Amino acid sequence: MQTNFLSCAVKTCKSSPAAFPLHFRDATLASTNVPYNPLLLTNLLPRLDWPALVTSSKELGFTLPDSKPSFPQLSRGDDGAVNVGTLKEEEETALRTLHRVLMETEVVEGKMVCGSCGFEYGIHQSVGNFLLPSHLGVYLHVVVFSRGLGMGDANHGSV
Amino acid sequence: MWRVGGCFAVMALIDDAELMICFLFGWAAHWKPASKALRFNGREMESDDGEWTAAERSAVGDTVATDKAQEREEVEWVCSGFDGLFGGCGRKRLCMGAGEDEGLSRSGDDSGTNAIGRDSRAHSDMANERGRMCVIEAGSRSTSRTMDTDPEAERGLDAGLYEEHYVHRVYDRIASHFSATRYKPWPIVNEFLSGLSPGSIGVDLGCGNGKYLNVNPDIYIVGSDRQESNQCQNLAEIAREKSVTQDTIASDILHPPHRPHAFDFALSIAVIHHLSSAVRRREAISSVLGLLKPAGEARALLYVWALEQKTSRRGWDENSPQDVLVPWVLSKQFTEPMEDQTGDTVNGVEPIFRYYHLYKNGELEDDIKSAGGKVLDSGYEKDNWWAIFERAS
Repeated sequence: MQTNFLSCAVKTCKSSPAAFPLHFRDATLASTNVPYNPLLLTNLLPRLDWPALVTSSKELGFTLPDSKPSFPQLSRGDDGAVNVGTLKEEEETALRTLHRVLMETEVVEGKMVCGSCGFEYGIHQSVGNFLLPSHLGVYLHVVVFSRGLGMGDANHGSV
Repeated sequence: MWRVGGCFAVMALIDDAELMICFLFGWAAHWKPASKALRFNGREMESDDGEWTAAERSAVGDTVATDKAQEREEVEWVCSGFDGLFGGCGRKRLCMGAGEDEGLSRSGDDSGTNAIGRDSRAHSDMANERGRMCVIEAGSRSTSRTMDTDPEAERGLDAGLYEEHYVHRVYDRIASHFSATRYKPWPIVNEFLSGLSPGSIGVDLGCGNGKYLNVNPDIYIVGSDRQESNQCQNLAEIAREKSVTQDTIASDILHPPHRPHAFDFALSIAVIHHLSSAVRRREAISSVLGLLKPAGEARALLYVWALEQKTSRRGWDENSPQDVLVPWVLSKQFTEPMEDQTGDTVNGVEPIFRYYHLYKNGELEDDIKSAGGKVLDSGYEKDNWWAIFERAS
């Protein structure tokens, strides 16, 4: 799910629509057991960029509906209990499917590639590495020159 | 790798050749921890690798001669943090400051036998700069190192490299033990996170071991911390292991990969005081602001170490220097670092130094304002200044 909130770290890519979402490549997936939390999910959903999520999920082999499903936004009552009873059965099923994709599926190893500059961010042990090659702005030279030389998709991103 | 090399090599011919070559080789070179000072009161202390070449000795000799005028008792540090970075260029010991512009960078097009000779010359040239740059106030209560001159002017464009050595690599080394000492959430952070509405999405920039990622199970946080890819144990991974329900990434606060203006909240606890210039600290705050939704919809919380901590073990007060190197002492006993921020020797083991800018009363608020933020609340808690703020527009 975090791909829905990440784009390219290169400043010049921030304004480029192609920089979001980043594209998965060579992804190894794992499923982790995460407690199902309908309160979080139903309130999170309105904040998601659905088309980007569909794209990302597809790259990982999941098919989501083209349009964002709508659920009642759950809340916690004064007694602390969540009003899960307001969910219809099919909503509950759909929400659990989303939970599996969004919360329980993780990319353990792989890459995330920027559609704008071609930069590849490595994912190792489930942690994406978004550190640019140096703090000196060297990355800009890398990107600019490598593109200029027709090496836009060169494997220079993993550091 | 070869493509990386090729890419850098081509660029090296075009622009910033020296830095890139040095960076490339430095990346491959094995990084060594902060080495010891060369001299104390003019007496040579020890080498970081236990051996000195003739050329290096001569360089040190030159330095001693240059600095004899200094009357104060002080330790002069040769800032060996660049050993690893420039090791591949044949350089052994270099200092930041003046050397970066001339002496150091020339090494990019050279290697082998000439390198040491060049080193010596660069070394001597830099002696004066170095003397001003990093000194320790011997005899003072704290052995935190302080800097005589304006640290910003000294570090200049090298701030990133400076932080690489005095912040990031330190945390890479001390991650496991640091994590073990950081388990209790700060009350104000707790309150901030607990007060967020369900489904809120936020960032924790500098999440450390991830202790704040699980405070409120009804929100979603992308935790991030710096991480070196060649380290198997580091803070981002520790955070990841501790918080399966949240995600962690490795990123730099000055180059956040997060979607701009997409977050309901942001946290950055004990991070920006590690940035070594006012410009960079403000840039970091502006970076945080850039992730937030518009005013009224999102807020951020920052924590920084305070200069005013008279009652703490450090004993600093408003007249103390603001830019300091604070030791974290390695313990032989545990093979893990042991924290002792007073700098008191623990088992006689060499401390590792972290850079801090200690914030004065009101300084955090000023920085936030100049970065384009509006302070909503702020205060002092246990040796730290904190502020909650939002975008001004």
